[in-house]
Amino acid sequence: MAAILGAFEQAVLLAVIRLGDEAYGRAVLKDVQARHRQGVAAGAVHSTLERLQSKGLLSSRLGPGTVVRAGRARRYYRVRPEGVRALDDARRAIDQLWRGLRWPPQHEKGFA
Amino acid sequence: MTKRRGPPAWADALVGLMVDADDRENVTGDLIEEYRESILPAVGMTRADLWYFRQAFGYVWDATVLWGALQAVAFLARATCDWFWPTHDFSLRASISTCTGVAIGLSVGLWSGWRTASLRAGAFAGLTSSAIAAIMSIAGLALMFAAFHDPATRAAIDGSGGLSECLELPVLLIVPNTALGLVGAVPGKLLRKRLQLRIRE
Repeated sequence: MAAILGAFEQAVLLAVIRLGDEAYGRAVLKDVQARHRQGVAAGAVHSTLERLQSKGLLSSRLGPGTVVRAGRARRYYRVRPEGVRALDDARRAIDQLWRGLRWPPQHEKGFA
Repeated sequence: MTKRRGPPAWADALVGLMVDADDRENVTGDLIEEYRESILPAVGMTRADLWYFRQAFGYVWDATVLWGALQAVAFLARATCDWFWPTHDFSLRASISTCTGVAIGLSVGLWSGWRTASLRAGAFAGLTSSAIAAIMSIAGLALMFAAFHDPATRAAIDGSGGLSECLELPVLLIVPNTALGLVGAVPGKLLRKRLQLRIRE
């Protein structure tokens, strides 16, 4: 099993899956801001996308630029099967931690 | 006068300077798109520019903070030796710390040149990382002096050049580190170009 993904890496990978064919940097940033952390910086998302790609969990292709972007290309991302497996492992690890736990915890008598 | 619709050109160039050469266009494009579509209409130009500066600062910080910390650790390690293990012959220590400093300075440039394929990025990374190192080193020295200012340590500090020299040196190193960053970026950029040529072949 590969190293478990961090919470932010999971948020970025899930955003890429959720956005489908429209998963490019800014769209991922907006999704992560809406669902995970409001004040997240663009640099954090870009560096995470770069890292996930170098780990082989994401693939990317360049798309055409638009006027609003001053003609600069968009990079579209797609989750690779390795990325899906890594998300699966992360989810299983969390489920394992919670398994058998009664929630909310019962307060024992005698403890302050 | 035409009203500007994008971020300040220098801030845009700064982001472009610090990101991977292959991602330059899409990263700066994403930022411009966000600036124009979301930030500018919501908060106006002054605050939108501030937002962009914060983003640009984040890219600079991410690219240089570890190098700055490494330089500061090397500097503080030398100061620790001089303060707690006093000597009269500083030649060996000076040689080791100079070689370490030069190696780190060149590595900053090499890494930046490799990543960004830009010589200017190497010089800028050298400048920024050594400025961060100066702040960290001065803060570290101040903490060390606050904790250890007994007569023996003070005598060792005076014997190694004095506290003022210790505090000035990290600032004086900014200029040579900028030059080392530029020099290191040359092989970094060449290596990247050669590897890209090989991949295309």
